[in-house]
Amino acid sequence: MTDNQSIVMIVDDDDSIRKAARRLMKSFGFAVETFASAEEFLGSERLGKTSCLILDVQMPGMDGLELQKHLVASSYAIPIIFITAFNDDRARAEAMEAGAVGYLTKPLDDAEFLDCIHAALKLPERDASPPTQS
Amino acid sequence: MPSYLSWLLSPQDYMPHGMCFLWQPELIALHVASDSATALAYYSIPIALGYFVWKRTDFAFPSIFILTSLFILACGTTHIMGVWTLWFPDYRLDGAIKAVTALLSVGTAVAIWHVMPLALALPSTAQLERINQRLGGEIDQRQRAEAALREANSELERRVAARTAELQDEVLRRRSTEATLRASEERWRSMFEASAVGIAVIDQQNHFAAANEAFQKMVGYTGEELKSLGPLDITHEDDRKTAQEMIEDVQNGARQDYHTEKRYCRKDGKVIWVRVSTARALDPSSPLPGVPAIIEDITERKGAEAALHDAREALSRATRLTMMGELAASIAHEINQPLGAIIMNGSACKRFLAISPPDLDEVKDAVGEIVRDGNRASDVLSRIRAMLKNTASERTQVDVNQAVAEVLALTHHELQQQRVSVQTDLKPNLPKILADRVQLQQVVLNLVVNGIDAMRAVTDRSRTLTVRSRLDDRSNIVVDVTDSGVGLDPADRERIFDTFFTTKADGMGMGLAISNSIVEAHHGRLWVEPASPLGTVFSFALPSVAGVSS
Repeated sequence: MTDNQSIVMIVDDDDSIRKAARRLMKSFGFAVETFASAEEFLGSERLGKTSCLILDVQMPGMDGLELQKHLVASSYAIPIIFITAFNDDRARAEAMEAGAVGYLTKPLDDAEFLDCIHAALKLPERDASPPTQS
Repeated sequence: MPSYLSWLLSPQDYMPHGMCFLWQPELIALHVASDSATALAYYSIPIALGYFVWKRTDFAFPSIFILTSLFILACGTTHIMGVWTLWFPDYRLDGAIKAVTALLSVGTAVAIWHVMPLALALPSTAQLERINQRLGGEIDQRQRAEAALREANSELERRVAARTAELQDEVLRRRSTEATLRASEERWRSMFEASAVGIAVIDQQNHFAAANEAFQKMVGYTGEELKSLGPLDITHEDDRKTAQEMIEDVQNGARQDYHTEKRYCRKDGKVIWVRVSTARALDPSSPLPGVPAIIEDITERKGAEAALHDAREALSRATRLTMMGELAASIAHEINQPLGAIIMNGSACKRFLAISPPDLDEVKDAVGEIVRDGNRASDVLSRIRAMLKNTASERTQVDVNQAVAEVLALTHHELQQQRVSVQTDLKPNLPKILADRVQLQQVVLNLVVNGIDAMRAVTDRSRTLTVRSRLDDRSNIVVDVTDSGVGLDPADRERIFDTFFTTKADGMGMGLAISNSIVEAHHGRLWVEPASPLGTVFSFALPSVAGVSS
C-alpha cells in the first residue's frame, strides 16, 4: 500500500525508542531507516530519499529543532513529525512555525501517529522526492 | 709398868763403858767428842726440820718430817747416852732409848717407803720449773687471747652500738616512709572513693577485685557482688566477643592497654553505654596484680550522638529529596522513554497479529524488547525508590563504578537537556568500599548536579562533565567530578563546604555540607581543586574494603 520510494526516517538517540518506532513503522507498512543523531542523519546522504522525518526533540549534540532549522535553511522541505517526552509549548510553537507536520508527545497514540504520517506523506509539492499516491 | 720404869731407873751394878776403854783419856775424849758432836748435830737437824715444816705449811708429807725429826732426835739421844754410859752404866735406860729409837726408825722407814710413790709423784723443781714455764706461756697466750677477746668484744660492742644507731635511723626512716605511704594511700583512696567516674581493678581471675562507689552505682551491683563478677559478665552480649578479645590481648601482653566504648547491662537489666580505659596491667609479681580500669557512663552522650546522627540523616534525606525533586522532570523522562518504546512495540504487535498470517517473528522480537524496556523502567523506579526511601543507614560492599553509573543514568536527561556531554573514565575492577549506597550516590548526584549548574553560564565552549574513578597510592578509591564551568573564586573555595554557603541564586547551601559529612562519616575526604584549563574538580576519597583489611 506504500510506494517503495516512501521511506520514513527516524532520528532518536534512545535505542529503545528507535527500535520500537522502526517496528511500528514496519507494522504500518512503511519502509524505515533509523539514525541515532542529527549528525548521523545529515552525514548519511539519505536526505533525498526521505519522505517523512520522525525527529526526537531532545538529543545530545544537534537537537531536533536545530536539525529542522538546518534543513529549512538548506531548502530541504522534508515533512517532519516531532516526538518528545515533554509537552513544551514554546518548543511546539517553534517547531510548528518552522513547518512541522506534527508535534507528538510520548507515549504515542498509534492511530494519531499513523494519521500524522499519512498527512505528511500526502503533502504535495515535494522538492526532493514527492510521494506517489497509494 | 711403874715397876718396869723403876727397873729401868734403878741403880745398876754394870761397869761404866769407859772401863772398856781402860779409861784411856784419848779414847774417852774421842768418843765423847764424836758422840757429843753427833748428838748436837742430830738435835739441830729436827729443830731445823720442825722449823721448816712449821714455816712451809704447804709442805707435803709433814708426818714423815715429824717422824724423821723424832727418829733423829732419838738417834741424838742414843749418842748422848753413849757419852753418859762412859761414866754411868745406865744401860737399861740406854737400851730403852735405843728401843725407842729403833721403833721410831722402823716406823720412819716404813712410812718413807709408804709415801715413796707419792713422794716420787711430787714434781721435781725442774719439772715444776718447766710446768711453770709452760704455765707462764699458757698464761701469756691466754692473756693475749683475753686481750684479743677484749678487743674483739669492744669492737663488737662498737659495731652493735653503730648498728643499733643505724637501726634506730632505719626505724625512724621506715616510720616516716610508712606515714608517707599511709598518707599516699589515704589520698589515693579518697580519690578512688570520691571519683565521679567509675574506677575498678580487674584481678587475674578476671573479677572486679575493687570497685569504687561511682562504679557500683553505675552498674547497680555492690562491691561484694562485683567481686564474683567480671567485665564480661556485665558486658552486653553484642559487645562481649570484642571485649573478651581485648581483655585477652591485655592479659597475654599483646597490648598494653585498651580504650573502648561498649554497653554494660546493669543489675536491674538497664543497658548503659560506657567508655572503658584500662591502664597498664600491674606487675604480675606484685601482691595485688590486676588491671586498673576507668569507666565512664556515656549513655547520655551516646543518646545525644544518636539524636545528632538521626538529625543529620533526616537533613541528608531532606536534601536528597529536594535534589530529586529538582531532577523530577529528568527522572520522569528516564521512565517515559522505555514506556514510550513499550507502547510503540505493543501497537506494532497488535498490527502484526492482525494481518494474515500474523508476523509472529516480529511479534516475538517486539515482546523481547517490551520485556527489556519494562525492566529498564523498573530499574529506574528502583533506583529512585532507593534514593527516596527512609531507612536507617546501612553499610554494604558497594561497587563505586556501578553506583556512579546509576547516578549518571538518573541524571542522563538532565545532562542532555543542559547540553552537557558526559565523559566517564571508570577504572575497571576497583575494590569495593564499605558504604551506605544511597548516601554515596547522594554525594555523586550532588557533585554531578553542581557540575551541571556550574556550566549553565558557559555558552562559548563545550559543556563537559568528566567523571573518573581511580585508586590512589593509599588504596583509597577516589572519584573526581570535573566540570568545564567558570571555576570557583579562590575565596569561595574556603567556604564551599560550609552549611548554608552557596554560590547559586536559588541554592540552599546544603548539598556540599551534607556531602562532606557523609564522606567524613565514611572515613573519607572531600575536596575541591581548580580544573585545567578551566572549571573545577571535586574529588572524594574513600577507604576500600581491601585497604581497610590490609
